[in-house]
Amino acid sequence: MNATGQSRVANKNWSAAVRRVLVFSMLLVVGVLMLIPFLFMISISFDMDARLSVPFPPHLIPVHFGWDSYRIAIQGIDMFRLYGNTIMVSAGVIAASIVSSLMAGYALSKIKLKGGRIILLLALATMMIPPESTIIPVFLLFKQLGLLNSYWAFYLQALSFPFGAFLMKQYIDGLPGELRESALIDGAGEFRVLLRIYLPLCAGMIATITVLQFLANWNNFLWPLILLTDPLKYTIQIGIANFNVASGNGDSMALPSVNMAATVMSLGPVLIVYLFFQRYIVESIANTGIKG
Amino acid sequence: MNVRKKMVSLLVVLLLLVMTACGSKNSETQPSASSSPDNGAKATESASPPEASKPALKGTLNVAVTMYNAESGVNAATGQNVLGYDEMVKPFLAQHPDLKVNFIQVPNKDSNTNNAKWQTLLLSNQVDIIQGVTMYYFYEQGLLEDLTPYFERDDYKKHFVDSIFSTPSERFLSPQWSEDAKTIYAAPASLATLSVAYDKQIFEDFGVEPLSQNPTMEEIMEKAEKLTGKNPKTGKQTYGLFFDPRKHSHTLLYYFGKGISLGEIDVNDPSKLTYNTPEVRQGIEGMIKAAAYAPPGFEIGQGNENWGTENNTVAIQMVVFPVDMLKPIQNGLQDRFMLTHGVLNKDGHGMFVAGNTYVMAKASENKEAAWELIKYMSGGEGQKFLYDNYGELPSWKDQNWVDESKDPYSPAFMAAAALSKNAFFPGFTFETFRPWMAGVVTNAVNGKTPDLDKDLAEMQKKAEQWVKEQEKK
Repeated sequence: MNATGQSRVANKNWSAAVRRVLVFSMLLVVGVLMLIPFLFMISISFDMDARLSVPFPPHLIPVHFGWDSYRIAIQGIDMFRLYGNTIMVSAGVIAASIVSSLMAGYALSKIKLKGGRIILLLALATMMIPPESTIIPVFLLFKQLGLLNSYWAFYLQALSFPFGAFLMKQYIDGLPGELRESALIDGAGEFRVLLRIYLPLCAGMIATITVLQFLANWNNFLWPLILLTDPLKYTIQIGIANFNVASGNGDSMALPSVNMAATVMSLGPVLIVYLFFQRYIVESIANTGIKG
Repeated sequence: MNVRKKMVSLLVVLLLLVMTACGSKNSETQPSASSSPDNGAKATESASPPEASKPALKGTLNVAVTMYNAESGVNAATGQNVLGYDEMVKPFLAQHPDLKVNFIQVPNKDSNTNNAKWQTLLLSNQVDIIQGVTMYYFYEQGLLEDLTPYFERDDYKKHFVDSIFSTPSERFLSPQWSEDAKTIYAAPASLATLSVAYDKQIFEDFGVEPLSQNPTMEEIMEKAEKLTGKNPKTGKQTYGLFFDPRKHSHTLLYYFGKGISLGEIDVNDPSKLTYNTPEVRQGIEGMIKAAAYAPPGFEIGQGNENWGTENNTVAIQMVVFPVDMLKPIQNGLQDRFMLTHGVLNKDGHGMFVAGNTYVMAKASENKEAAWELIKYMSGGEGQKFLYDNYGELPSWKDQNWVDESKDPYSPAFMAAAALSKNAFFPGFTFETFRPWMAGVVTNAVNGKTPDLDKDLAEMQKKAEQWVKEQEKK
């Protein structure tokens, strides 16, 4: 290689290196910015001065370090029962969502129903209605069905998951239709085709729906609050909300350290689920071509 | 075959729709919007007062508790174990062995969440008694029992401090905010009021006389000016006063005007609700002037984080509730942080006296038992229990349990409450006017001079529009 060529290669290597440094620097800055709230959350949970208000000026390392907030959080609400309740609700909701999304997505993608596109659009259109505006009518519906204070209200509601149906349809669109055709020729029914052929291929999207529904349910506060009256059935977010005190004029005031301690503890299962399923989420997004 | 499958599917869908739409006949429990002829449901079905004789109480009562622990556990604010309502009612239940009480804990997250939960509890007939805060909205819907016959029968009102049932009332009497309100729909669980507090240490450092027992705004502004600057002893920048315009601007309006009169709500003459007045203007101008003595960021509630600690740099807190004085007690600084008896209006009254409430569901099937339980919880035993476990001030007249040695601020708060009479602030104030005032103060702090003539005229139009909208509700 002559001198000009070598110089060109060296320039190319140099600009690639600069680009890499810039990209990494940006990612580092954004990563740190995203981590700071979590670090503060953990710091406040251990800060004995943050019982009634966050200390000022804010500091990342607590001046008076202590575990008392965790003690209060565990004693004040039965954390482990709340975990169990929330997992029970989430598991049922995830199962119902997956079943309905899979069936709806398969039908809309492969069976080519007349009017299927319109059905999907109408179902997606319901996502534009704010959930807060339907809480009372839905509550009254479940009251008439005798399902108040029961987890079945969560499970039945989860059967209607238009976004999941949409995601699953998009995913199954990318799977070959010939698999279905040859199975039908061999005498398999639609359910057998779905369960034996397409279900294993949809593992990635099932993992995505699992994570989405788990996060939504784990953080869900208003609907469990409205539906449940038995404290033994309360979910984790209702428990955390108990750590407020009256401010005197009818409002309430969150207690920072105890709230943060309870929130840190509530994050554990979420992190575990996300870390476990993140590989599938990345794969499924890459396969469907859905970005962002 | 394909057509048959489609027809069957369509029939199933239609059948489900019809079943859901028809449902059961229990929907009569839904109240109609027009069930409040006088801005509050009259006691119609229970018009005749309950019987004077007291049969043994039996059955089951469901009680929703919001501001306190339903069951014994840990008080998150103090970290101490506290007893819950399950313990409070034990002596009562010992006298009524055939009566059972179930408690429902309502998390006290914010007023919107509370309202949603209370609404669903009442609509679904799942509760007999609610321990709440402002419940007027539910009384207006016809979901709550009129307690007036019960109060009259048992001559119960006289046991509470007089000021708590003074008109206008927001939390206990109907019609809300009416000077002529006579219907009692809630019983007091506690006592709430507000006052002005100050840091005695900062006053001493600057050589300024402490605030008087009932300071005027002239006194406060004069001293706040002197107390803003570098502390001669510590060298720290100190601020004369603090208030949060987003929450307290209506209170400062009252302070600066020595009371405030916003007129009345008259759907036939909306102009009777008056926001464009010299009083209001004076109050806003006063707040803009007071902003000069407040810490940076006060307009969004910042600058006050060290109140109650040794590092405090704010001399005067313009609006404090009992919970705001917990920090000085927890830090052992009760000799440094002092409480006045509040700013009074021209007639010698403070602006706010209220309390948490007990209400009875209209659909309760055990009203007599519910009333007896409300009497117990709102009475001496119940209020002493709330004081011992939650530090709540009592609205019970014959109380002898407030311990000044452990609770140095209670006497001042109770004195402030005794002098208070609720100032009339219609819903428009909190929905629209107060956020607007907060915006005016913020803009003024940032150098934008407000055109109060134009803005107040605009607010007046909006207020009148709001009054007209009340008629449609």
